[in-house]
Amino acid sequence: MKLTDGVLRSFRVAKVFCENSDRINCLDFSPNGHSIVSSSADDSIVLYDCQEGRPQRTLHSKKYGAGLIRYAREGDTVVCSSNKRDDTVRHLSLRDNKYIRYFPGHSKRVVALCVSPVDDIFVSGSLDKTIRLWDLRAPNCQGLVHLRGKPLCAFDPEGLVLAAGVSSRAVKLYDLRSFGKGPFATFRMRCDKPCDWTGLKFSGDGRRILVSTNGGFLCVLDAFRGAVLHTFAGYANSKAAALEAAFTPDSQFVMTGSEDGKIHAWDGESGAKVAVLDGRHVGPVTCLQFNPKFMTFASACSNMLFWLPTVDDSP
Amino acid sequence: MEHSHPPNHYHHQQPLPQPSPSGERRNYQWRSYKLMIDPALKKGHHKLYRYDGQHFSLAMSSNRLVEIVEDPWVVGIWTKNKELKLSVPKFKIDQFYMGPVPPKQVTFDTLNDNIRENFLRDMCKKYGEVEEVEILYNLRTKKHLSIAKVVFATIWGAKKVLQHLHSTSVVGNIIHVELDTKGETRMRLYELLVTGHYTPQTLPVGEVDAVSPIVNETLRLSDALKHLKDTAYSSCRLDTPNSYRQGTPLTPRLGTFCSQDSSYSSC
Repeated sequence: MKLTDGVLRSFRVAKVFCENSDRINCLDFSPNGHSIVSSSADDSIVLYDCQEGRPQRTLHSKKYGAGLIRYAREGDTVVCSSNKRDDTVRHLSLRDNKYIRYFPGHSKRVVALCVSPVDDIFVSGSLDKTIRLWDLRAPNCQGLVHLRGKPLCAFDPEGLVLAAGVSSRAVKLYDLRSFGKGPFATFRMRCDKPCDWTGLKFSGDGRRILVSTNGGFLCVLDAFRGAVLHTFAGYANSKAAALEAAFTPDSQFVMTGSEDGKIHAWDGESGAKVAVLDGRHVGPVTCLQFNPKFMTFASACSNMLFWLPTVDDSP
Repeated sequence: MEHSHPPNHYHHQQPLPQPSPSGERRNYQWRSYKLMIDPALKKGHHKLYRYDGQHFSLAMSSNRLVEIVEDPWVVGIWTKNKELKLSVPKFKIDQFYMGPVPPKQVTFDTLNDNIRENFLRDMCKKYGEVEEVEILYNLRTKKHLSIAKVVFATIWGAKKVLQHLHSTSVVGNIIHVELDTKGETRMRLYELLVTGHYTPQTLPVGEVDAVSPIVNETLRLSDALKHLKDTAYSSCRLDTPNSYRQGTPLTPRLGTFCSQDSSYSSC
């Protein structure tokens, strides 16, 4: 099925899971789209099967908590940040429920985590105003950049470029080969409303960068020149929550969760509003991601919702 | 680079401090580094750091300064993925399922008890792709109950089988085919049969509102069981042992989902 305006508008909630007793902090699809891993403020990591749509396993992380969580490239293990005790990032095997490696280095809470789509490397950003580059195979920090403020990070789909959002004011692009020298591009943004940036993502075709904020609007930038192509607003966020926004895998649409439990979608090319979907979330939709390989997406508050299109393929 | 470094630091031939894993000392001699050689990854070598793209922790002939920093993207490497086709996953209809269930499931009643799964599958696949076929047997006596579940891949497959097979004679029996989206009718019939109130021949098919106090009690009991499963927090993790135990009990704390207009296109 091809994703069109009509198909996107037809999405309805197909599955609801209440595995968590507190807010879901983060969710991530595996690279093959077969599973979702999620971390929650209730200190648990829940794994879901996205083929049949059911919870698969719950791992408890009472000691370190479960902050940000991302699948590693092969889809069997995850990297996760702690929100208690220390600021070490951990590489966890989902199959064995054992930690493979610890990555100590940050001195304050890790607020950004992204995994390379092509290599065994990942990047973490922390409130200690640094971005650290790591290799899954070794505990030593492979690279460090001091920044002026709170960082966000994202890899481009080719794994060549690292985008860093800094102090909610600028996006800096780094070439990983010359990492440590400085960015090859800096896009400074002027926002009318002072607010914090809460997310940074590349589109699947690498041509756009999505900046999500806690001020009730999103920006779509040209990833080559930094120009703001679209600013999408009109969704509720009066309490300045971190609401996740995402591109669809064909890079055509932009979606965001809203404070009132709805999901808003726009055409990323034309800028037109395409849909407002109501899944009757019981709280703000803090997490939202589209499956990279299948026609389904997931949204979360303290419950996890799986969505499916309701238009059928006729013969 | 964001800050300019006081240049005199670099003229002194001091070895620059090695970053240590447990919290670097905040010093102003470098802003960034890259670990060029990690002995954990490249055996037999020493650690080699490159600071700010300009200075190395060890003098090695292979050390190269970063001269130009440029965009590594090559024009034209992007694939057009607007034509991306994604397939819809086939979620299981279970206790987590929400919303209108696509009417892809049918129940067959009054089947001849010689009919087996293969026969039924072959008979149905003419009308559309069949996802699942199950003939129901009494678990205790292993007796063929003359009822079956067939799930199609598409809505129109289910519709067609209804049009073509309902009230037709199959192996000598006039069979009854009906849409049974969540399998509830089939579950009711199963209960009636295993509790001994009816036999496959006397089953009140098509009269699902049969007013019999025993029948109603059985139904009420099974509904109560459904609600019990509901409120237990761990209910979501229970396995569904039998195929007939389907249905979507709505958990009260979620609130009611708005009625969804199911815009199912059919041919």
